[in-house]
Amino acid sequence: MLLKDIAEHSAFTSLTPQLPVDSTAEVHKAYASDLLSDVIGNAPAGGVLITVQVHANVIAVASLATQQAIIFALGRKPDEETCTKAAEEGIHLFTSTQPAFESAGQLYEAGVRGLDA
Amino acid sequence: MKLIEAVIEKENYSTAGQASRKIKESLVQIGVDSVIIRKAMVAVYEAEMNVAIHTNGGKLRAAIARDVLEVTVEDEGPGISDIQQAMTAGYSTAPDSAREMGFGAGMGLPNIQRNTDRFSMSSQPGTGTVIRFAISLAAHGADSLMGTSLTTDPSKCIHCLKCVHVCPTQAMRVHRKGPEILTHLCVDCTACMRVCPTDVFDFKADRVLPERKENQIFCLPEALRGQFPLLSTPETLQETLYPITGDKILFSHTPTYWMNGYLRFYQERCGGKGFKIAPLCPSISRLIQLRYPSLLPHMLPLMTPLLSLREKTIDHDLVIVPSCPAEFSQAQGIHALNKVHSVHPTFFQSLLMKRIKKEEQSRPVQTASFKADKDCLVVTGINQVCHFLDQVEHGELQDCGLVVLYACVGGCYGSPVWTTPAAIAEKRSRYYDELEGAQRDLIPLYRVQPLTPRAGARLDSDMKTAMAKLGKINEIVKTFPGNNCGACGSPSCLTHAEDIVLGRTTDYECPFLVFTQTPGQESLPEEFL
Repeated sequence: MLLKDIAEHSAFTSLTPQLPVDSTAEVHKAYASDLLSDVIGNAPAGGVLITVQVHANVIAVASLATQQAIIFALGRKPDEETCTKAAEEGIHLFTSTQPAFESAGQLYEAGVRGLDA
Repeated sequence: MKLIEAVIEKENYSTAGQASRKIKESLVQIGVDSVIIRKAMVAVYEAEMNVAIHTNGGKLRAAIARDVLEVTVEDEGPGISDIQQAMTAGYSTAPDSAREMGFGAGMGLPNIQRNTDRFSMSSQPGTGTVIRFAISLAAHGADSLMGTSLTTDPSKCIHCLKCVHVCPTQAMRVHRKGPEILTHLCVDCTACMRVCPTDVFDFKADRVLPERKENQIFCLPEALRGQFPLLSTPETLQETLYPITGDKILFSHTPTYWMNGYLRFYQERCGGKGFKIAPLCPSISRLIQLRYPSLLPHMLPLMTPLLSLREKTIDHDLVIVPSCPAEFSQAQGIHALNKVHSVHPTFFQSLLMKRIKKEEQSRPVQTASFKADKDCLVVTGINQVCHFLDQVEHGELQDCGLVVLYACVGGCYGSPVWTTPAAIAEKRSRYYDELEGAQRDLIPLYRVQPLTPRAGARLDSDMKTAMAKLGKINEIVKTFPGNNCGACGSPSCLTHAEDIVLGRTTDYECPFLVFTQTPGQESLPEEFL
């Protein structure tokens, strides 16, 4: 799946419109978790994180775990400052009104996986 | 070398993480492999968050050199009273405020442990906790502990086969070209070294002293003090050593004092009950990992004296004179910013002996006789140890309490590098302790990296091929007399068959078969080879 596909998907709204989406960037891996120790320890590099946590540390953790993008579930949105920081770090933020399970399902359908096959 | 420092404030979750980011930038600049950067980030970030969540604030210091990242995190309390419990995955004392943010899942310390090559922790309830860890930045830097540091000089070998018979892990082969150690089976126990009549075995510690540096400590083996007749005072010994080592000397200290430290842990943490093994001898730990993995849960979760000493002197370059190859291997495996130099004990002893003057040697001095603590059972000598562990593994001797095992007869005083009989060396060494009024209890540090079983000999990584090989081995072994004489150079008929099938030997020299076979049938049928 391409990052562009997530950006254009009707279920996901971009929170970092100032950050241009590389039309060739691919997404192969994703990880869903609200425990940041779990994310930093186990989220696959270069993946997309699905979470309900919206505080600034999520950006720090995603950056350290080299995530491309974060999808916030249940319509959650971090504050403006956090979004700006994410854009500076080059991390795309999206929000979705659906629960994390549904968002994960949409990515899974498009061929994204959590672990190495 | 690059230094990074950061202050971590109590419950300030937004600034915690800054040190991680700075360290990451530096590691990216140096061009460190991304997998290793990730490991480092997990460890540093978790350490930072721990300080912010659980303590009154603290400091993080990181040093990056070419091949290692070393981090020290100190906090201002309240300290941890039970480190073992704190290390348990899922155990957490985090407040709700931290949990709501997705922290405090009890994964912090286990995450640090999993991602570091060296990790130690000490804590004083009331004052604070110090965490130190290091990550090797070289792509395949970790885990040099698995090999052996024994070296062989085949030109000295007289093919007496003593080493083949004495090896407790069947790691020794003597074929035509001389002795060969199967490194994946060797535990550095020195049984071969001790029994060899022609000094074939040695280890590669330096035979020169490293360049003298300001920030350097010498760690000398206890037994060294027992290799010459008593000098009049400990000061005389210090003066004799001074030109070689300078004034920063540390003796690895009498095992009894360490035993007291392990014993205290045993009494406080295990209630003084049950069968436990105190990890004093590094070779024994490796023997248990390889040959008795079922007994690993009985190992006290503490570091060996050598590793504890290194951890306590981590801010210095250490020049260690290991008393055996097992200590040498362990010293080589330490990942730290400050270097560890290993100087060969025989070489060091020769330097020292040149400086000891006859007139300084005193009359025999009466010292209190050696008393091992009555609550600590000591078994020495690799054969005795194996015999003991065999019985324990069969479920016997479970009433033996805390046990200290040594590969060498007489403990470290009996390492084959020393010439003075262990009993005398120990008595002499104790004399200096008595005069110095040496510290009685040496506290070993908590070992956070778990010991894991070592994979022994596997016939093949592919199960099907392994089964086929096993079949061949069984076929071949039937043709052997089964008396395990060792004359072929393998320790038993079975291992010889294994060596043939695994291509470890092209020799086919079972003397019994050579004598009894009819001419023209001197080698195995071709399909076996």
